[in-house]
Amino acid sequence: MTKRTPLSDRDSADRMIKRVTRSVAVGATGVMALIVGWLGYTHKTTTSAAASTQSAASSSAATSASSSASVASRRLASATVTTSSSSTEAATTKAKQAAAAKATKAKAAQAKAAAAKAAAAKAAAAKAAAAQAAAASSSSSSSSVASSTGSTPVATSGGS
Amino acid sequence: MSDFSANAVWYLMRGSGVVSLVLLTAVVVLGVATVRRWHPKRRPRFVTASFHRAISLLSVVFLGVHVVTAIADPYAGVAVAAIVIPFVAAKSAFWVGLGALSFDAVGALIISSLLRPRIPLRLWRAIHWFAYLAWPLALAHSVGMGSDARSLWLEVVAGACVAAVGASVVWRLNVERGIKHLAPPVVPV
Repeated sequence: MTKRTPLSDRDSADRMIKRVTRSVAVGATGVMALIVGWLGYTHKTTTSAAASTQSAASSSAATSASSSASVASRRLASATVTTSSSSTEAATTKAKQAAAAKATKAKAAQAKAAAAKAAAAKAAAAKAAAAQAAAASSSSSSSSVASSTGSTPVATSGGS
Repeated sequence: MSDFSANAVWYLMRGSGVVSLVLLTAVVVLGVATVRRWHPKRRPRFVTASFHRAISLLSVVFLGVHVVTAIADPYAGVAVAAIVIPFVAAKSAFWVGLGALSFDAVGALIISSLLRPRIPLRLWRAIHWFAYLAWPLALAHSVGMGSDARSLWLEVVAGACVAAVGASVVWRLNVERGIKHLAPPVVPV
C-alpha cells in the first residue's frame, strides 16, 4: 500500500516548486541577458579593432552604415575574433573566411576608388592653381612694367 | 549602440539557444531522476516530476524565443519551413536540420503530453522516450553550427551538459544494477 502525502506537506511542496521554478526562470533570463551583453561587447571590441586596421587603408569605407555593411561587419568581426584569439578559436569555417575576404576586398576596392578620386581631384586642383599662378605672374609682370614706364597700371587686380 | 541594437536579434537568438540547451539538459536529468524515483530529502516524490514538468515548459519558452529570433534575424535567414522540415534550410542545411529534428521531437512531446488522457499510456511513453533524442540533436545543433561553435565558453557549456547527462545515465544504470544485486535470490523449492 502506498503512503499518501499529507495535505500540509503537499502545499509546502507546491510552494517550493513554484518558488524554485520562478528562480530558475529569472536565472535563465539573466543568463540569457548576460550572454547577449557579452556578445555585444565582444562584437563591439572586435569591430572597432577591425575598423582601426581598415582605416589605414581607407577612412571612408569604415563610415558606411547600411544594413549590408552591418552584416558584412558581423562576419568580419566573427572572423577577426577567430583569428586574433586563442588557438581553439583559430579554426574558422570556410564561409566566415569567404565572407571576411569578400568584405575586405569590397572595402579595399572602395578605398582604392576613393584614393583614385582624391588623387584626380588633387591633380585637377594643382593644375588649376598652376594656371592661376601663371596668370597672376603674367599680370603682375605687366603691371610692374607699366609702373616703371610711368603709365597707369591697368590689370593690377588680375594678380590677386 | 546603434550597432548593438542592429544585431540584438542575432545575439538574442544565440543567447536563447544556449539557455534552451542548458534547460533541456536539466529536463533530461530530472526525467532520469523521476524514473529512478529520486526526490529531495523531506520532500514528497512528486516534487521531482513537478520540477521536470515545470522546467520542460520553461525550456519550451526559451526554445520559442530561439526559433522566433532565428526567423526574424536577416543574418540567420532561416525560413519558417526550415524550422519544422529538416535539412531544407538555405544555409547550413545539416546543422539547422538537426535543430529542426530536435524541435519536432519537443513538439511531439508537448502534443502527446497535452493529449495524455486521450492516448494509451504505452504510446505516450514511447513518444516520451523518442523525445529524449531531442537533447543529443540539440547539442549537435549547438556545437556544430553558429558563430559560437568554436568559442571556448560554448565548449565549456556543452561539456558541462554532456557531463550532467552522462552522470545521470551512469547513476541510473548503477541504481538498476544495485536493485538487481539487492533482489532476493530465487530459492528452489
